[in-house]
Amino acid sequence: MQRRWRNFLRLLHTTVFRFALAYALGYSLIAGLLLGGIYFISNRFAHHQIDQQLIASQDVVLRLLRDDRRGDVRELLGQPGRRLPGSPLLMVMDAHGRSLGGSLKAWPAGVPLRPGFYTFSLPAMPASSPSFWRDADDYLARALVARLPHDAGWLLIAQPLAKVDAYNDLIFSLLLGALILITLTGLAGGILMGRGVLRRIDAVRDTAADIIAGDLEQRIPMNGRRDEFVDLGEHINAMLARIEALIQGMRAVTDNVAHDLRSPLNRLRSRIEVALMEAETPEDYRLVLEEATLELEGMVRTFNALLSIAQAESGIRRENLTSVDLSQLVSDLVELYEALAEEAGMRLRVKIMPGVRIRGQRELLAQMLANLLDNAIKYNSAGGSIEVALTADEACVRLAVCDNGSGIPPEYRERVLERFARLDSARATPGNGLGLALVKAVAQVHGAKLVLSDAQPGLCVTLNFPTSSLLEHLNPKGAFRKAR
Amino acid sequence: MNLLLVEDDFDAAKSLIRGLHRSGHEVDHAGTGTEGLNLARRSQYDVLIIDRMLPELDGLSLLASLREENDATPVLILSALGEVDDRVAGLRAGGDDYLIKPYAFAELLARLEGLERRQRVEPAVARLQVADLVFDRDRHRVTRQGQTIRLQPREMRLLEYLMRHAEQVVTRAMLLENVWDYHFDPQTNVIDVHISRLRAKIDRDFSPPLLHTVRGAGYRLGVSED
Repeated sequence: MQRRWRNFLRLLHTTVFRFALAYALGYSLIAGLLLGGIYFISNRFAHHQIDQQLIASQDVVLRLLRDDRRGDVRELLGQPGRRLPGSPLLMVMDAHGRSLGGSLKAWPAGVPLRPGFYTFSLPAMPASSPSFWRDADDYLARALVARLPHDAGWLLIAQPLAKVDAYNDLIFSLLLGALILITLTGLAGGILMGRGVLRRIDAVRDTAADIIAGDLEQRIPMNGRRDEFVDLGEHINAMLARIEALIQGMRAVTDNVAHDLRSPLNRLRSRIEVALMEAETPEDYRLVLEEATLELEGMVRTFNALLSIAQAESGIRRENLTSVDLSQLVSDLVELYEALAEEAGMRLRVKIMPGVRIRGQRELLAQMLANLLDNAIKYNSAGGSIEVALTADEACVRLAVCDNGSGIPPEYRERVLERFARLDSARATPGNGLGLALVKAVAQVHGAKLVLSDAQPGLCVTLNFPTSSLLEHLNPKGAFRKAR
Repeated sequence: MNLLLVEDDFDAAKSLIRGLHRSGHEVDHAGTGTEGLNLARRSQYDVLIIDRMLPELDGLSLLASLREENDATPVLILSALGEVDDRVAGLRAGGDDYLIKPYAFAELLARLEGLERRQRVEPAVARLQVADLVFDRDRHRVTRQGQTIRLQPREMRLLEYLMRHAEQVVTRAMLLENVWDYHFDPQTNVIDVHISRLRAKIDRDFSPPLLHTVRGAGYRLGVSED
């Protein structure tokens, strides 16, 4: 019961309910003014009609009297219960106040002896029907007083207002009823709408609560309609999917870091411990220390690479992209590695489209290309060749590094291609280690697609970067937002 | 050289100072930013080594203050923050070089000497000479003992840098940064191969050898064998 009450109060606080209430009240106000106007005008019209009828009747009677058709008038007056058209009440009185006839017994109190319109109250008439709004003694009549010709006396013609008033009361009841109905409908509508909205919002809220509690796989349920809630829900679901991916990425990264740094740390530690046990001469110690230094350098490299990868995957670095001359960068790096390739007896061929620019981070791209060239040389043999190609069209910028010759041995090739699916676990022995993993991370930072293909023989690594125009739509976290 | 080290990690400072002493340098040490600023103002140093993360006054603010006071002493920034933007921020604040921790001592030493040298030598010198090796910038000509040596443009830049830092140790990182203008860490010895080629051109047919490999550090162009 408590909960129902609380839910009801929540309802009253919703924007929807308040809108509906405000709208209902506003509408009621206008409707009230309108209906009130109608009532007022119809009321006045009815009364005006009565006055007009009284004037007409008065004309008839005065004419009869003037024409001195006493006989007709007496007949008229002498027939109680006989009414003129419109059933007015009638009274003729002489100058001394004596009734000369008519349906009224006496001159009504409150009506002065002066020509004009007056309203007076009537005792209850059996023919009149009581209405909801009035008591029995509330009955009124409208009178028209005129002087008889030759100052002979006074004429009073009156019309009971009971029927008209009853009619007006009915109209009033209907109009009031309509107004109440409008207000109540508005309220009810508001409550229903509020409940509908609350239900949708509660769906979102409950899902969020589940996620906050730790269940990352929850999503906001969609009901198949295409309204603003569904649209919002879809966006929130996309956001939740991204958050889930990030958290899983972070878990993977911490796992990898733990593994990748623990092994060399362990090696280093054993080496030092063994040395402490076995080493005797200063030369022995020196050797161990030098080896330890090398090991540490390797670890620092691994650490830096892991850090880069972690940052790239979590999207931290995407905020600082500048315009990079990719043509120049590829040219520089090819020149840098060309000497090494030649030393190793390989041919390094390059095809660069000039003037290709992308948004990115120069140093990351350099590191990535360096890793690729490193690999291409490492997994190749004398006499082999390496091809670097940079092309661009409207849709994308393509950078490819391919090598031939022995390429990657079949058993490793499978693994490399396989690893591609989850490159964050593509870590080999230290020293070779994180080359491709970093390539993947840098590709991610730049929104580029990484493709490994079999060059038959050899390996081809291709990166497809979105062109600058597309990159304008790349928000800092690397997701595409809709073009406005 | 007269050096000032502003570093709040006392263990690291101790090791570093020992190494620097052994290399023949005098080192003053400050443990906080404010102390460092006071010392820098008071005395003249050849190079300042400033850690970024300092108590009281952080490294970049210290640097900015010095630059505002028109102190042009070369500054090497040490930092655990290694992103491109961090480096850019450090250099923009007035730093002359930026070294990421952990670093090799040899790297630090080489860079310190490089900074000190840069301060002294006019950059616009058109003619460099080391022993009988002559580099003529305007005419893009390299000669040794009067004979012209043909070099690729990149090889020329490499040689020029080495000659500017003649008799000093130059690390691979320094070469990559100053000759190729890149700050990444190459996995293999790409630089070595370029050096070998250059050496072949300038040393093979001549005597004495000028381009030496310094084990565990880098290279040195000079007369002394050391």
